[in-house]
Amino acid sequence: MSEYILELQDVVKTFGGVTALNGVHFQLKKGEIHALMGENGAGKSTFIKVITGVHRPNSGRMLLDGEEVTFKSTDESSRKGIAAIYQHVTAFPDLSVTENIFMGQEIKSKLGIYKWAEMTQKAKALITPLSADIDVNKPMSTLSVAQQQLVEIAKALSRNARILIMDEPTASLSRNECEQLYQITERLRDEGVSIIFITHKFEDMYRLATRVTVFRDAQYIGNWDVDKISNNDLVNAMVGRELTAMYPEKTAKIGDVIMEVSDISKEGYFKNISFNVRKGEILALTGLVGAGRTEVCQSIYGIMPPDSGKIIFEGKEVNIKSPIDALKLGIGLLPEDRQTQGLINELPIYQNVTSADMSKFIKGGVLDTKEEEKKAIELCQKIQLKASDISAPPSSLSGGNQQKVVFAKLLNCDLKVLILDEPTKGIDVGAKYSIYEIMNELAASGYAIIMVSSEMPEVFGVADRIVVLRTGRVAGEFDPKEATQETILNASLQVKAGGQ
Amino acid sequence: MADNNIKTRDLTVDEGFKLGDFLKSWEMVLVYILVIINIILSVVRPDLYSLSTLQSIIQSGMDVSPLVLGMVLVLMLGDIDVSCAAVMIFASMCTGLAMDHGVPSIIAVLLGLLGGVCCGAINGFLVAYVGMPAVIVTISSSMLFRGIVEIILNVNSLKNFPSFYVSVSWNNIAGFFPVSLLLFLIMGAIFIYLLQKSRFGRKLYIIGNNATCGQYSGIDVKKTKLIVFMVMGLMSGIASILFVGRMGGSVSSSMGTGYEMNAIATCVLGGVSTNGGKGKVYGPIIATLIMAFLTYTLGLMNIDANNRKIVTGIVLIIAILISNFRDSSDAKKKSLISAKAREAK
Amino acid sequence: MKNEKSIISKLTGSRNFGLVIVFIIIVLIAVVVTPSIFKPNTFIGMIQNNAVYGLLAVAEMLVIITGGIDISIGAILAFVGGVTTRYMSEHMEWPAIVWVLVALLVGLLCGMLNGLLVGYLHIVPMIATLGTMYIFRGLAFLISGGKWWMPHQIAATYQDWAIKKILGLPAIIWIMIILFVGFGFFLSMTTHGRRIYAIGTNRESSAVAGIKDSAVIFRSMSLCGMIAGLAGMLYTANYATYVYNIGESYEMTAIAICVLGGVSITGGRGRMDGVVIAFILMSFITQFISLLPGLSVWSNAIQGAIIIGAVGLNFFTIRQAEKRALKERSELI
Repeated sequence: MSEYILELQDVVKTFGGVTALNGVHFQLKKGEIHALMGENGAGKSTFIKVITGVHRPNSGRMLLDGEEVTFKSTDESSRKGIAAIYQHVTAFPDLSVTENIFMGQEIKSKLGIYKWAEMTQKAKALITPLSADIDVNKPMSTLSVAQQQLVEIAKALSRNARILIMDEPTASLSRNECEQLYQITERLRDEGVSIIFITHKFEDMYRLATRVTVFRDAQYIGNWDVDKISNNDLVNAMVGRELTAMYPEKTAKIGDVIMEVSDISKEGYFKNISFNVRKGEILALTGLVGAGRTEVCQSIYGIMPPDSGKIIFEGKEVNIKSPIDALKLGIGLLPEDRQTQGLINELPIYQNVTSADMSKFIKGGVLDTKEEEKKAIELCQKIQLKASDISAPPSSLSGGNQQKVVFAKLLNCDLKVLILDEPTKGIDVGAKYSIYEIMNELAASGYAIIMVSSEMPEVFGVADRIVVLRTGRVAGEFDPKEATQETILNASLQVKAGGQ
Repeated sequence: MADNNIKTRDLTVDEGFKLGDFLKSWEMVLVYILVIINIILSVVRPDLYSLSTLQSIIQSGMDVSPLVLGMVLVLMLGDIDVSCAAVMIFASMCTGLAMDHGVPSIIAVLLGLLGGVCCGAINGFLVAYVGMPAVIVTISSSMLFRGIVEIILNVNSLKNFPSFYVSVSWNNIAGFFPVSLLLFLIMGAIFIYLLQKSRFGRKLYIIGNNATCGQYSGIDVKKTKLIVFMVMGLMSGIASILFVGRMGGSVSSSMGTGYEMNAIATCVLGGVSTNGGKGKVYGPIIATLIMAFLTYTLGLMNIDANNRKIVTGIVLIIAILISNFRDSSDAKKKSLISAKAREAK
Repeated sequence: MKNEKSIISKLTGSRNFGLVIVFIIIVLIAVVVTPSIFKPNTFIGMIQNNAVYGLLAVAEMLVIITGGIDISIGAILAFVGGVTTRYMSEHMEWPAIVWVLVALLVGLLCGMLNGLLVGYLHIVPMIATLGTMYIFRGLAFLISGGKWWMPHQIAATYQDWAIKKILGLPAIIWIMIILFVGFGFFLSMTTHGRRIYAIGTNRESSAVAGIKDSAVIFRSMSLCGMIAGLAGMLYTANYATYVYNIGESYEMTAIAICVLGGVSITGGRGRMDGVVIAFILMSFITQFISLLPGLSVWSNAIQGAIIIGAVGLNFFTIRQAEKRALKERSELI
């Protein structure tokens, strides 16, 4: 018997002329948690799909329990005990938890008639150990993201998975929820399940994994014992070059207060939020996921105007009822979800860039596309956007460059305050640096920046001031030079007297 | 480093006009189809292939043309309007009733157009501000508008219409150029400007592809939708002029059924995606002519009006299959290019 | 106390709530204005006259839940009705069951064409069925030659499939009840039925779960065609007449019944009980209006207004529920 439950040797996968996996190796020991890391586009997703049989490799071998296997479909791999939990939860929102667990493998009579009672019972038996407060008869859409992920795990368990692949499961979880997930993952490991844990977060890796494998640019870079590799070496392995500093030097001079938010509330989301931001300043808005950070930003930007409270902009009280009002005043928002809120993937880059303010390109009632292109190129060059063609769709770009398109869109408007909601989310390490550079430059040229971020190092590396939100209220304001990560964390976690 | 390589090609603006691409575009394919139909017609029935035939072919197909143009905008948003035929009849009724009551004809016409705009505004309000799906809204409002006409007219028909209605539909300028075609081309030019050259049109493309992003980009999505439905109503009002004229100046509640489907089919044939955000005005303009020629040619071949529907249906499905096929091969090419670009990085 | 509240909120949150309220209001009006509608015979006649809509609503429901739409069912009804009527009149002596089977088969073939275009060739359902609607309408004319069929040309055994009374109810009502119950069971209790919902609620997830969405859509649309075909045969049997343009815009009424009954037009949601209530409501309204002197021309307008009203009410209750949820949440802040 092999030491490894799953082993991949020299696996190559190409799509057309594009190489997605170029001779990668991977070894998974029985009952271990193995972290798989790499920048976006390193080939991790393709890798999962090769293991689960969605794609078939062009060459190379896959060994399961030492025996060579090839999967033609996800059906075959799941019968062999391989299950994957994908990054974007793949659920049926209108169907019940029970049905979600069993969809595709329903318990039924020979005539195809459901055995509801039996399925419900089994679903309960699977879910209860993971989380006691999930009602299996409720529709999936009523569950939180974290709970939905637990359902996905239950689904994998229902198929007797021996190998569980988790693709960035902590990406949209709060700290508490992460901890819960860690514990469940460890329990599964103790029960003998081998786990491939794909993540961007070093924290996940240190907390869970014993070994880590790194991919870069479709290549296998190496694998290490987690306790034998330094943080720096790991970053180098992922990025492929020395990152001299994770965060650029700050150059901006902080000026006067440009916007003050005073006592704003929105039913169901947040209450009595007050803070201000100054010219040239980068203000970090942090806290747990669900603390109301995104909602505060959306309120200021007019997507869902606050019920009460005042926003004072350049000394005058303003009434922002829609993004149109906000943009007119000079407040711009870089939304949290690039794909659905920031970009139009079907239209060329230049039209994306000009979409928020087309008025300056109108000549005699006609949109002057040549002018649009010129302006877009100018802005894109300013922020070093790499693209081969300004008329190509943004979908042809990498995540970091897509984010720069959204930046360019904001710069095309005449703005004074930029609200950036998780500007580096889903962007790989190398590209993050250049986003920070852009932010610094913008601050230096007089913009006031409000940045929402969940990543503590980023908050400390970039911000001039930190405002912490907790369950829809301001939990405190801190100076990054004086505060430590612990103080911020305490502020965001502290629970009100009387329980959680 | 591979990086530099890409940088040198950074953001080059491709200004070249590629004849090959142009000749292969869907609009040109439609032109070819139109030419082929003409050749067939001239070969099969050379005796009938005359100026007057061509004129009547075009005239017979023009009453649906305003609906087609309006529908392009609605489809562009990713919505649909199946009430436009009912609105057209409603608008006809407004004009007809006004005329019956001795209102000056110019005001009667304006009342008809206003009736259309109001119907469109009701649709638009329910779709944009209440948030109901456009299919449901327009199916039921179609029943409502036609129902109102039924209530008011019962089994009677209106016969008193401004005299120019018939002449717009059936007269030719200098005995040569159909008035209705001129009207269509003028409206077509306005719509080309509106959709392809103006800021309003760009907003439609943005909303049709990603309405959320549109909202974040400071576009008043609801207002834009409302305006589009009102424009659709206005176009239905204009269609009522050509329709009533073509029918020889009378209208009753059961007329014009199926016009909405013809309009949608023409748009789709013209390359407008029912998912929104894709298509141009040129395509549907040519497709309107194709539909007119197709219907008439089949008629000349002694194929009954009802059987012509089979051909229309088949043409529609084949057109969709071809354009789907072109899209998917395009998409493959694009994804390959972008994948290569990513790899090069 | 808490329990009580949840029952009320359950009631008002239910998709059928608006429907039931509208129903009650109309019944109350009817009690005062046209009490004759509550005579058993009138009531049965009302259901019998509208049964074809009930059948079509079931057919349409199967497709709408997948997230699609089928606007060719009215044309299928006309085409299949033409096929069975014509050949029946040429072979009066054949047993009527043959024509039922022919109707099911021809309808199935029509549905399969739709399913092929939508499921396997990935044409947008609205457009694909718009195309086939033209085709079936043309075929209906072709097969009938534009002729009329009158009651004396329709075999009695053929008519029996719709009008023969069994246990006091006409056969067409029994067939409709069987379809309601059968497909209600099918949709809620069988693998294929549940997969229809799965496809409608999230097509990508279905693919990951190993569900072949093309096949599910193909089967749903085929079944839809089959039911529409049966409806075509029963229509001609019920009225004992045929002309090629029957069933025009019946698909709209069927869609309206579905939507009124809480079937989500975007797919994934909707139950048979809602559709049955909506069907009875629609029949009731039609009948009620026809009983009012001089108001029969109002039926289209009133139906349209009621659909807009009911769907609007639905949206309103959903928004209210959301608002309440927000209020509850803000207590935690």
